[in-house]
Amino acid sequence: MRKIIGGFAISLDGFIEGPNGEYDWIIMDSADINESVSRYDCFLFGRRSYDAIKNQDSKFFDGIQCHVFSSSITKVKLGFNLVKSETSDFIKKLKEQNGKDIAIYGGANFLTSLLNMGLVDELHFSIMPVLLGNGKPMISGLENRNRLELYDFKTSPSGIVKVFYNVKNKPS
Amino acid sequence: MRKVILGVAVSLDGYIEGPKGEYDWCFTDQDYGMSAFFKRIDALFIGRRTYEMFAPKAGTKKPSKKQSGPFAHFKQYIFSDTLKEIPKQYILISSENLEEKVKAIKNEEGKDIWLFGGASLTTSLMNLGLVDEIGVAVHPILLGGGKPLFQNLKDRIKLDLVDTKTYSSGLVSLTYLLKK
Repeated sequence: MRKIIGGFAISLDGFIEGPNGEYDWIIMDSADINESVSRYDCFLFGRRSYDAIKNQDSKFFDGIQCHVFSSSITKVKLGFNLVKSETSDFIKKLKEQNGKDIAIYGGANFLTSLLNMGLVDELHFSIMPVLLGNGKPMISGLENRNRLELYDFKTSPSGIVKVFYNVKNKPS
Repeated sequence: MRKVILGVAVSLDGYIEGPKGEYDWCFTDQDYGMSAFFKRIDALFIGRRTYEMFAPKAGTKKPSKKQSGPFAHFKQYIFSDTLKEIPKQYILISSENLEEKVKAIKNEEGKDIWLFGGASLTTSLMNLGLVDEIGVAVHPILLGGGKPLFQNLKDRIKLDLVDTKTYSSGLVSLTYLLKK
């Protein structure tokens, strides 16, 4: 069955954006981008992360199934699919289909809601060597503790720590 | 110069305590580098509220387990403007000229200094650029809420990753130097 993987670049103190929405503290790693392209053929978007990319004229999403989950948007751009309700059923069916793994493109609120539904299989985080002090938390609205199982760990010369976890004790 | 070192256990989502102040998620099954850490230090910096949690006081709750054997022979500096006197095994430091006082202590002969806590003292010293090293024990858990790792940092702080260790329990220990 296809797996759903969530993960972002985060500060050591658990933020995905700085206090003014800034991302300048993120060190981009080309290995991550290459991995995205080869491992996944499907991205899931919450409303805010879709809004952030919808006006980009980028070839990055070509050939990738993109599903946007929102009850408030009425339409999405060409090549993207809008899912207005029954998120859990839709995602369960997606996982049963043939294909590569599925990545949660973003955002924090959307990842949290999928964790609450027990739909996330793995979490990959790139911990940047910075304390932001404030900003948008990586997880928001989590209903229960989620125990994790570390299965891989990497560091980069620039001080990035990459942690890879399986999500355990998924609530049904 | 002696280093001021902070050591914290944290959830992956950045909390040092759960939503009800709970620590039950913290691993105690292994040493996790604590013995080696105790060999590095000979002094503690302690904020007033933390001190009051374990200080011996007539008719109040008994001292917590934190104040026990290993700390007895460390020099313990208590940071407070309100406490007027404390037992003589402790040294009272007021906030007046705090930066000079801490630098003077760091310039003395001795091993490194453990910034024991709590959050208020930690934030003050971090905002003054007086904390040199931070060891973070990242636990394999998302708590969803609780007390954040740091509050009231006035600026972002860049870090230099100097050491990492992973344990069979899934705990990841990260050591950073704070860039000034």
